[in-house]
Amino acid sequence: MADASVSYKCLCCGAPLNFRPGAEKVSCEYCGTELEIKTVEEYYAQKEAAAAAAQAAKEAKWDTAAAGNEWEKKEAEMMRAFTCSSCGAEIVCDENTMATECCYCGNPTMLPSRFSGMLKPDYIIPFKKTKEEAVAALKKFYEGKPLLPDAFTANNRVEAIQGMYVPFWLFDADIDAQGSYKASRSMVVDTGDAIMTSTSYYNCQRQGCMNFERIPVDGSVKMDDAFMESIEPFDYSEMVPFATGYMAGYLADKYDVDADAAVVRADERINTSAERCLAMAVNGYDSVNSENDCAFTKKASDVHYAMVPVWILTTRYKDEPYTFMMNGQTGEIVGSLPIDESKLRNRTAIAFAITVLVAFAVLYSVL
Amino acid sequence: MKKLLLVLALLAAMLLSAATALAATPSLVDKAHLLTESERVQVQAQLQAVEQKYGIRCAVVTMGSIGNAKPGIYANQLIDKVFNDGPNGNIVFLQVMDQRQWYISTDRKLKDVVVGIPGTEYISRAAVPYLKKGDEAGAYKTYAKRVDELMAYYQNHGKGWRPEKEFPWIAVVGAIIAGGAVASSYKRSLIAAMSNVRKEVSADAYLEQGSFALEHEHDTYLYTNVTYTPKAKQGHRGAGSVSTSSSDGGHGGGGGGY
Repeated sequence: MADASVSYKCLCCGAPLNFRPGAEKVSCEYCGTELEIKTVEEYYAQKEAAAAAAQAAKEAKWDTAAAGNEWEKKEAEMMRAFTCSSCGAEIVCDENTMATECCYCGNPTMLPSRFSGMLKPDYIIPFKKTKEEAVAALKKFYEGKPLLPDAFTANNRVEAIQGMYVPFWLFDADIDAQGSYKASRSMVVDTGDAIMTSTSYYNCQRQGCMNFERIPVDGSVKMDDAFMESIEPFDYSEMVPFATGYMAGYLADKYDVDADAAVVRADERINTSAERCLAMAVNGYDSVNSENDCAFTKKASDVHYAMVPVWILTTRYKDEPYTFMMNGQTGEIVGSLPIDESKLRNRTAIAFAITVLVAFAVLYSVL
Repeated sequence: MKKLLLVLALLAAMLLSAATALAATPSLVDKAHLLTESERVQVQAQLQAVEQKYGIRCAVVTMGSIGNAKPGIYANQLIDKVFNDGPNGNIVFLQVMDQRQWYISTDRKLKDVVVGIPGTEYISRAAVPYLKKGDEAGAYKTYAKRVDELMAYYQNHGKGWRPEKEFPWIAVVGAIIAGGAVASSYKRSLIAAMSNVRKEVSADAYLEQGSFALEHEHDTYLYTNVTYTPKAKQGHRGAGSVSTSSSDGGHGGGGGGY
């Protein structure tokens, strides 16, 4: 079944439009025309409505369900095809794709039917970092890594780089939390022939309230949660109400982890922070240990759906793909680098040898 | 002239009298009365045998008490004032009963033979266990035997005896364990530096500043644990352990308790 697609093109010359990171407006790279995001959005909203109506009419006319025999049912449910409005090619994407570019002509393309109703994000954090900045950040990330294979840096070429808006849930919560802690206070007395240590133990109950604002939880199954949490935090002061214009030129997925599923992760993080806050209120003791019974109740809560900018960079070493992700707003880059086993072995052996020599010299002189 | 002759005569008389007194001082002086007559004869014979063999004075002195004097200083004085006639050197074993202390003192000549801890420990490790058992005669005979061995070693090798150094297994094993621990920790840190992908455990970055308010606190006393750690006692060392506190430029040796 094909969805209708709408290409964002310059209203002046018809060239593909791209949103430049950090810009207030959408500009045309070819004729230089600058367009207000609101203007572009309104203009294309009409086009999208028209395209959706046309698609609905087309789907009513053609029954494509019968053409899906070659695919398993589950596979078919995951696949979506759309027709590029620029070159006419039919391109397949998954069910969550909201924005992409045509792999034949590179035309930035939106899938309007994915924006409607529940799926429309509340906010978007526009890209501030460019593709060039992402590549430079990756090269800098390689610096000072002693175990990086020489061949990795010498022959390294970024295989793919793609800017993507990733769906996130942002949780606000005003909570009441309570927890208990085992605390101790020690007293040391010199009795002459012995040292007496008296340690008294106490159970400390603490209850308090606190507010959390916009705890982000990744709403995409495709994106590794560890990567997404590693590129935090985002600067929410630059977050703006969602507008499709910002997505021109980037990939975008809608969420496939709903808010109910994401709230579990937010609760875990809130609980850890609440436990720490309450522990800091246990004063006057030598040691404080949580009894791991911290619990909280929400007095007020709110959830927002937002799109956040992420640069995804892929490189390859010894036929293994290595993926790095960069916060498209702050420039924080994360990833795991390959390890040169011989370098690791040599360095560990040197550390072992030096320590053995020093320790032997010290022990030999002391014993 | 008469006065000069008188002074010279007096000096000669004093020297003669001192020489007679020294020559008369036996190498075994048992003022604490620890030995039986037969034991005294045996010990005396053994000491004399060593003395004649090496041309040294090898003495044993037992005292019930020396007041507040330190055994080391007292033994040094015995070497300086009493047992100082050995042509090749002098050594004395002093035992003080009320302090339960012993001390071996040597003059400068024997310092190279029985120097500080190694030589003195060689003697005391064998002799002091006899003192602990109350077998003083055994202790003194062992002392004489060990002095004999040390002197023989010195004559044969031209240098004082030193224990052969054992292979430092403890230092080697300790160094390998330390090396393994450090290398393992270093390896982990190197590997960790190759990735900065880590899950966040808390939401601290999203806690609204100043929003935390403590609403209730209640502390309940549970119980008290009391532990005693005895202090290490000074002076309680192993059999034959040696202190060289009274050793100086003119004297060698060392001593301890029993």
